[in-house]
Amino acid sequence: MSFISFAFMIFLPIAVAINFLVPKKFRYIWLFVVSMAFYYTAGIGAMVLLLISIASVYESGIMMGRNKSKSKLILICSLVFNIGILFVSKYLNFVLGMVGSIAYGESDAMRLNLILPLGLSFYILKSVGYLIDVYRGDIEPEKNIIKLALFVSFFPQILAGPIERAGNMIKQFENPVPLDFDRFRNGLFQMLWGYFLKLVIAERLAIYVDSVLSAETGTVGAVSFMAIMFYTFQIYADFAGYSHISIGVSRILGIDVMKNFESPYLARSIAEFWRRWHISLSSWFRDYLYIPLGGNRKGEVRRYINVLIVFTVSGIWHGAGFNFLVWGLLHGIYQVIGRILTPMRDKVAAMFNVGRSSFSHRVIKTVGTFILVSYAWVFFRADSMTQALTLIKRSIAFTPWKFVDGSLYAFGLNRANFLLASFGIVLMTVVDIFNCSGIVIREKILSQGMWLRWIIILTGILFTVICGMWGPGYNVADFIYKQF
Amino acid sequence: MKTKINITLKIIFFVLILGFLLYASTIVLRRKDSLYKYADFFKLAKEDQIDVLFLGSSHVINAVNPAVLYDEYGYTSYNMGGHGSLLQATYWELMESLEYTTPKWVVVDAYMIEKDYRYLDDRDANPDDNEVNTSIEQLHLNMDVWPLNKTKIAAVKDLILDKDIQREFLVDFSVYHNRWEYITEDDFKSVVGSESRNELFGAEMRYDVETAPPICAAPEKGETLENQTVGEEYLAAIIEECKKRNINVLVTYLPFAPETKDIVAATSAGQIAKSCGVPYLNMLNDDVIDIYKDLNDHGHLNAVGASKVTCTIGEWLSKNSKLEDHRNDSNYAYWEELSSKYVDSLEDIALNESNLFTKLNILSLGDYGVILYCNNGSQVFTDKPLKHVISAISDSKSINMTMGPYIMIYDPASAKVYEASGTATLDGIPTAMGELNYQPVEQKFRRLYTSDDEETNYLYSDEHADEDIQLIIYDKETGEVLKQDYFTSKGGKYDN
Repeated sequence: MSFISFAFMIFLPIAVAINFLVPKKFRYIWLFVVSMAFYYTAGIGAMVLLLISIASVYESGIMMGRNKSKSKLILICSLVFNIGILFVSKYLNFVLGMVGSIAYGESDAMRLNLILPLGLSFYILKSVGYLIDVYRGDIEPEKNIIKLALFVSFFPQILAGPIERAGNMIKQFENPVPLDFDRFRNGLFQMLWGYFLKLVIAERLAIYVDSVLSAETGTVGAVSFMAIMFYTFQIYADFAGYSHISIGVSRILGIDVMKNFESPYLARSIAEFWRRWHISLSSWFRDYLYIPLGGNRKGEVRRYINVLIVFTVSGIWHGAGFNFLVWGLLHGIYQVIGRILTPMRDKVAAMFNVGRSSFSHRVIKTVGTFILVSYAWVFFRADSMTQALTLIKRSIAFTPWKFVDGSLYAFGLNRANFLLASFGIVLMTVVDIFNCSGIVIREKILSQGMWLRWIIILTGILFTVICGMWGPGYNVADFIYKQF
Repeated sequence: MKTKINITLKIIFFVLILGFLLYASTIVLRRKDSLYKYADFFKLAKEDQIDVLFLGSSHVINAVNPAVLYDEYGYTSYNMGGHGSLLQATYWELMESLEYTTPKWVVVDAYMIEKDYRYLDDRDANPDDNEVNTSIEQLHLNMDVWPLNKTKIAAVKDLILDKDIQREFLVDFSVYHNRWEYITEDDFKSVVGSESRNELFGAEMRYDVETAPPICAAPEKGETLENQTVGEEYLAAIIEECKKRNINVLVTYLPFAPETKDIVAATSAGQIAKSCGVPYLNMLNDDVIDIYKDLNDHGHLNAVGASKVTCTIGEWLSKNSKLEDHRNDSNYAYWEELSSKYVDSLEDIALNESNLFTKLNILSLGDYGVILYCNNGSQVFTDKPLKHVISAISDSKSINMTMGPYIMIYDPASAKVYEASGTATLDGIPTAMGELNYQPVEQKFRRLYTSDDEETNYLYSDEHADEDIQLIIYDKETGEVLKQDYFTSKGGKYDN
């Protein structure tokens, strides 16, 4: 069940209404029931796999609590089992494809008929995080299987995160907060912003991007450049949209979930970008992979190697394909080169007396980071390496007249829709700039007087419903990150 | 407690405002084709002023003109035809309309009775994707205007198989919310009910002339459809429903340029009508229209064809029904107003249309006096379709036997046509313009004048000396010249 389906529009009010009526101490049971009902729509097979994974994680946690001496062995076994599920479902065909190509000259020769269950990559990371936390002694093993199962399967997060930590979630199941009107209103408003990002911006930009990528002619220069820029905002609006809906739904249900984005395109370096983009995943890799690998504690060379390993794994986690691998590796290389060039950049800045904290310097750094991130996204989006390289090559051709001669309107978006999409990008950026200054627009609006607040919210709802890309006229794609 | 009540009231108020705004958006954004067609239906049904309902496909929309029926016979009717409507869609159109009015007569056209699939979106039964998509899109014209109720739900479920497409019809906002970029002033007017509306009581007139209609092979005499079709079932259901409600039914098969299968289908429709005991008018068999000038395209009639078909049905009703003539009844002033408006629109076309075929065809209705002159060597004399239209006005074949110059004077007031060709002259022709005289002089000069004013030559103008066709339109009563048009036949385009 997708957040942008009619079924969800019926499912959510029922889940919320009953959650409101259920006594606080039993609320986690209800949330588990609705989470199972939600995930059941992904298919019975996927649900069975989820339950098996939950059972193994629960039992491993209990066993680690009981046998401290064997906890490492138990951890390894449980990690092998759960990561094994992920490997078989997500990567086995990729590996078999490579073997098939080498052995038979055909990548499909050895492929198996495997289906990737929805949200598997996300809930496995949550489970792995829980197991490592128990092993490290950061948290006690959870004795109530329903609470642990709810942590793993909590329906607003199961399909695409945020990848929460057990320590933050389980304590909220044990001590539920009162469900008051402000929480409800705040959650709904955050959901509305999420739907706006997804339906008005991301889906609209997707039309242009898909159209350019599938076009055989007429895309040289500005058209391809705009496709790269639009995809950069599409994936942000898409994933941030999903995350806002997820966090909003959780809040309505009485659960506070960590932020997943913090104005990522205003970052001034790639390292900062990763502290702002998909925060729950970045911090997961930092805590459960980068630091255990030695982090930056074992010298510069080892640090570079660790960075490259983490970003390669991050790339592969996103998808079984060379394009994802290249995308991850590229981000690792960006950071390594950035680190290596730091002394040189410092020298140049000192030589030319560049004020590193000046506004213009900060803007240049932000724009530079944005361009690097945008061009890396090409590998993420493209269906093949060839397509990615072709798009990059086309985008650097000098055709500025195409910005004004109407060429941009020939790829799925007419002038009105193109302008609306651009307006959406501007709005999203303005909200991020405020956010960067510590001003949360949502909270500002909610603190206004009733009439102004209502006018803004009602306008937002109408605008999203009317200008959103949904219904039979559109083939509304699901959230991009759901596929991972 | 007070806070809880306060919050509850706020939520209720908020939801009400949101509901109102969404409802208003639905009205503003909805495609207006359906409302445009049926706005007057609701108004007139409420006043119980509709005596006849015409049902069927686009053949009905283009072939039956309620404004003409009222003008000629005083019968009030509404054209409920739907573009691409199969008989099952027509059945539900009837069921929806009967919730608002009970007419004295239902006239149902049996076109497409041979279609043998139940659901419009059944792609297995109808593998032509374009036809399926068009049927679904066109069904919106029939369905959008009806409010969501039991009948509409039953109709959509009966016509559409796919649940997602069913939802398109039941919650049409899901389709139309994306019209935001196309909304006009009229969309906002619909909120207060002052939107523009079809002023022909549901009919649509077309004005082109199909000059090369296809002619099919005739089937075996009496040949009918081999198996009973879904179309036949629904035609029987329509008749049954009307009988149950004491509504008289006339089944028709309106004229067009048929394929062989259509002639077979028309015979089958006759059998159904016969077995149900209702009258049947198969106009494919009769010479109701002139197939070479009364079609807009091979499937649909133009306004002249529609006028003939409407009068044929009006004549039949006058002989076989006890329908009341509402002309001169002040309660029916709206019918009078719209009928007059239609007549005025024809005048506008007759005087201002730039297409010679269309213009001559409208003039063939006999509302104006016409003088047509074609110069020696004009391409008119080798243009068979145009000569056919001219022959239809003159009711003679003279145009076929000359290479010009040629003149025709059609004077409706005296119901006479005068023609001359070659070196022949016309002297003292009595018309509403006065006594007319015609003399061909040389290639670019000829005379047409009244006996009272020999100085005014109607057939010569320095500015138009090179144009080989001249058309003079005059008031058939007063003789006042209303319009003089000049055309060039070069290239067969008849530009003016």
